[in-house]
Order: sequence, then C-alpha cells, then structure tokens
Amino acid sequence: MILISPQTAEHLFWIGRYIQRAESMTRLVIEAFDKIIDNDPEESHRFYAKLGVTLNYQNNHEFLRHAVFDLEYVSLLTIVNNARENAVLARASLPNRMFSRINGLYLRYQIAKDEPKTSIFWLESTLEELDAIWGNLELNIAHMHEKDLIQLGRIIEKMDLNIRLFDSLEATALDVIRLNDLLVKLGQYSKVQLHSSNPLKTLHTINSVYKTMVAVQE
Amino acid sequence: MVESQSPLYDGFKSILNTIDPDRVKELLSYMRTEAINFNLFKNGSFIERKFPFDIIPRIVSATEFDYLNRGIQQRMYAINLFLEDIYSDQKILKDGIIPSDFVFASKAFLPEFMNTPVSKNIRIHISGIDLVKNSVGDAWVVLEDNLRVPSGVSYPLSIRKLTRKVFPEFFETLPIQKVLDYPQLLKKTMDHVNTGGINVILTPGRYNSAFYEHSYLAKESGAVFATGDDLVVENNILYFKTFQGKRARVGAVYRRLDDDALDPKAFHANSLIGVPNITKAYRAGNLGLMNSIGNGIADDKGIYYFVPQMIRYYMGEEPILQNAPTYLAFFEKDRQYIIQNLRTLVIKDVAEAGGYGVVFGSQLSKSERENLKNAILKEPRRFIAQEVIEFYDIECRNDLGQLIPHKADLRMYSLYGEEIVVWPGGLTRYAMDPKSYIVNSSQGGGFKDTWVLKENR
Repeated sequence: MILISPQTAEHLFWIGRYIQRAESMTRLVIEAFDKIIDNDPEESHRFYAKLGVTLNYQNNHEFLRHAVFDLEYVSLLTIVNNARENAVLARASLPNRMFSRINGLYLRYQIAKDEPKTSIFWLESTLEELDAIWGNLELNIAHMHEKDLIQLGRIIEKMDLNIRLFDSLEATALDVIRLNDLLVKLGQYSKVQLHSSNPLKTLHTINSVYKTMVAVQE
Repeated sequence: MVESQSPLYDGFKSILNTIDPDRVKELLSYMRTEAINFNLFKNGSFIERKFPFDIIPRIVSATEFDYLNRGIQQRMYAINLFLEDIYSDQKILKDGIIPSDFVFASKAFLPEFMNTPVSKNIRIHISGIDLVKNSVGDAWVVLEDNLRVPSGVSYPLSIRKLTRKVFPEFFETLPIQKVLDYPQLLKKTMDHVNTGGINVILTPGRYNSAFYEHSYLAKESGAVFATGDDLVVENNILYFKTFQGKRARVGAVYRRLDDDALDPKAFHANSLIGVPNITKAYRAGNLGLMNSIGNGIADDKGIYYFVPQMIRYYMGEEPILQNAPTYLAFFEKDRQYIIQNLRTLVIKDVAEAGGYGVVFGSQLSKSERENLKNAILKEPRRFIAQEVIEFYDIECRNDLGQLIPHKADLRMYSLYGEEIVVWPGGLTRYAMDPKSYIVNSSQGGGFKDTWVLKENR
C-alpha cells in the first residue's frame, strides 16, 4: 500500500506543477528578452496579456526585473517560492537531493532579488538548476509513487501552458498518453479523454484531473 | 569561566587552525541549502530562520558520559515509576513524600487519565534532559527534565552529517562516538510500544518551530509523517488515510504536540491540529502513544524539586545527578527565604517553558521586585526559585575567527524502549549574547554539536 496522505500527495503534485512552470516561464522570459532587443516589445506584452497581466517597462532590463521579481502571482520569484513551500511541506516524502536542489534554487532567488541589477546570464544559469531537479527525480528509484505524483503535476502544467499560452491543442493531445499512463500507475483506471476542440473546456478538463482522481479514489 | 576541556580539545583546535576558513563558510552554506531551520513567531509574524551554529563542539569525555548516562538512566527509571504511580495507586502521595495538594494543583496533572494502561508501562519514551556544568565544584547539574515533546535532536544529527563531509579529518583523527543511528533507535523505541500497525510521527504543522525536525525524523526513521487531518479513529482504532482512499492501521504515534491540542474531543475543543478521539484509541490499549498523556506533571518545574526524593523512594538509591538548589514558594519556609533573597535568586514561573518566565532577581528594579513578591505571595504554587548557577562558558568562534566565551548548556536525549538508551551526543545550546545566561533557541540562542569520546585520552 502506498502510504502518502492526501495532503502530501497534493504538495507533491504542486511541486511538479511549479517546477515545470518555473522552467517554462524562464525559457519564455529569456526569449522575450531577446525579442525586446530587436525592438519587438509587443510580443512580450501579448504574452503577459494571456496571463491576465499588464507589464510596463522601458527597456529590456526593466522587463527582466519585473518578470523575474516584481510581478504579482506570475513572477518567477513567486513561482519558485511556491515550489519551495510545497517542497518544505512534503519534505519527508521527497528525495533528499531533490529537496536540497529546490531549496538551493529558492536561495539563489532570495539573494538575487536584493541585487541592484538582474542579469540574463544569472537567469539562464537557473535553468541548469531546474534541469538538475528533474534529473534528480528521474534518477531516483526509491520514491516511485512520490515521483509519479510529481510527474503528474509536471505533465498537467505543460498541457496547461500549451493551451493557455500557445493555443496548442495538438501539443496537449500528445501528452495525453503519458498522462493516462501515470494515472494507471497511481491507481486511477478511468482515462482522460480530450475530445473538445474548445481550448477552455480542455483547460478545465486537464486542471480537474488531480481533484477527480482523489475524489474517485475516496 | 571557560570549562577546562578534554585534552582532545587541543587536538581539535590544532586541526581547526590548519583548516581553510572558507570550509567553515562551505559548511554554513550546506546548512542553508538543507534548510536546517528553526521557526519563530516574533511580534505576531512567522519567521523561518536558520538555527545559528558554532563550529566548536562541546567535547564530553568517556568518563563524563558514563556518569551522565548512569545518572540520566536512573532519573528516567524513577520518573517513569512516578508517573505510573501517580496515575494509579498514588503511593508516593499516601506516604507523604510529595504533598498531594502540590500535585493536584498542577494543571498538568490529568486525573481523567487515572488507571489508563499504557503500552509496556512506558510513559517517557523520549526525554530531553537539560544540564549545565557548574563552575563551582565542576559538577553537572540538571536544570530541567523535558518529558513531553523535547525538541532539538535533529540539529546535532543534521550537523554531524554535514561536518563529517566537510571536515572528515576530525572524525578520522579523534575518537568520537557515532550518533547517526538515532533514527534507528527511535524506530526501535516505536516498534517496542507499537500495538500493531504502522509508526507515525504526528506534527502540528508547518508553523511549528520544530517542523523541520518532525519531517526529518519521519524521513530518517521510516515513520509515516502526518498531520491531524491525515488520521482518523474508528472503533477505537487509529488509521492513517492515504490519498488513494485506503486506510492503514496505526500502532504507534510519536506525537509532537501537547496534550491540550492532541484530541479536540477530550481536551481543547477548538484544536485544529489534533485527532478527534485519539485518546479513545489510547485508552483502549490500541495505540502506543509517545510520550504518554499526562507526562506534564513530571516535568512541572515544581515537581522537579522532588525528583531526588523519587529516586530514593522508588529505587532505594542516592541520586547520581544533582538538581540545582531549588526552593518552592509553596512551602512556608522556602517562601520566606525566596522573599528575603529575591535579589540574588532566579525565579521561574512553573507554567512557562522555552526560557520564558525566567527572571533574574538581580536584574529587576525595586518596583518589579515588589510586584514579583506580591505575585509569589498570591500564587505560591506558581513559582520556584533557584540559586544562580555560575555554569561554564564554552568558546564560540566569531566572524573574525576569534574565540569568545558564551554560556552553554547541554540537552541530552534518552530513549526508553526495551531498555533506556542515553544517546551519546546532544544539543549544546549557547547564549547569543556573551553576557546572557539564556541559551534557549526560542530566545535566539545558537547550537553546537556535542562530541562524546569513545575513550579517555
């Protein structure tokens, strides 16, 4: 029997979501930074508008500062803080090194936020930390069910961002097989099906997967 | 006054002097990455702070540890017998060794748990004994017996793991006892009282000061980590709920919350962190609960006064470890002495813990002393007084690498399973201010590792 409480399971799931969100958003911020250099500021305005956020900036360094530290809810700092908070709460179920990696990333953000200037090189280097977190999870064989719950969060986050930011139902559909494989591993046998061509409905379906899984099992 | 340390201390210092100071920074950096934290509530806010650590250990010789080991074992046997007695026949009261009124006046005595059988008759599974070494007479003195939820063991454990990695030369060169088996000792203790089922560590939650420790001990001992919401009682049996909707029977719980919060059906109805009806499972003999309910009566600061008498009464032996000279305001003669000597004594409120409610008479103004005197006269059961002990300082290394003496105590841990095992390590806490006597972590104190030696050199 898997002895993971509903609360811990939810924290593990959200670690997966927030770490994936941190990775995706970091890549997107780096890309947007590059586009601003080429005098294409509208791209990043459109991008943040999809997240319901208005981002005002005068130059690419100001953009970087806002995106990484200042924005409410969607700044990278907030995302990393949330990942770390879930890791603290689920620490007893996490591989030691994975916790240390997540906490290490959090500490890097805490130090960098007090620096006068935000460096794009610094931000790029955080991707190595994120890679290490995922790599650590892949290598771990002692926490199989914990790993599955984190992977579940990771896939759902990817699917969510594909729809929310890129309107890409095709990319989302590609992940459904992996999602259903994970659900079987976690003891959930009713499969998720994405029939809808409506992005909002699809978004709702995938964001309900975790709650549905827990409700069905209870 | 700085304690004259074991000759090995010189060995330690000579190794330390050859070490690149950057490696100390490296160790502290590891501590931050591992989030070895101690949480505090300050001015109504939650603060997650790192527990200040000093690299210089307390070194305890093999002879000294042998003495402490025997003294603590004796003390724990006697206090466990006291708890068994006080919640059943109360012979010690009937024989007039401890005044009944004194026990019954304590809020920590829970008469509703009289005659409740406990698994294997063990009530103090984990204890944390606070000691200081008196510079007068060079003798160890017990300041407190923490018999409910003593915290702190995870810090010397965590730091030992890191120190071994960063400074292996200390452990290769010096005969230091290993301590990393504490989680296995904890598991054995839990298994011993387990009534059938899994072991669980029950935490009050994220905002508890020792949340890191709860999580650490669960992970390292293999116990399941749970909050009150994860547990449910049905037909007087405790179960752990899994996210898959299944239930696992629980046989032993190491609870890290006080009696008051443990069961909203039995104690405070508004407790959100307890488990409804867990006391029913306990009363029915279906659960090994560590530590037992009602232990607070034995670590009441007033009852502490009677521990030497308990040892003589239950064991027919003279106490190995001494108490600090203590006066009970409850007794007329002691009360007179306290009032006359307020200026030189330390006054403690028996209801407080964690360094709170401790007042040095010498630091009070005239009006404050007058107020304290009136409070003592009004509620004599609430106060004890102790002579100020000039306990030894231990050197701490400041940021400049200088060695500065600070007051330091020692918390030693014992585990009571098949037998009582005194862990050959401990949490040495030091006062952050070199002039202060208050070493408690909740008061800003720091910690050191405690190295118990395998042999005398």
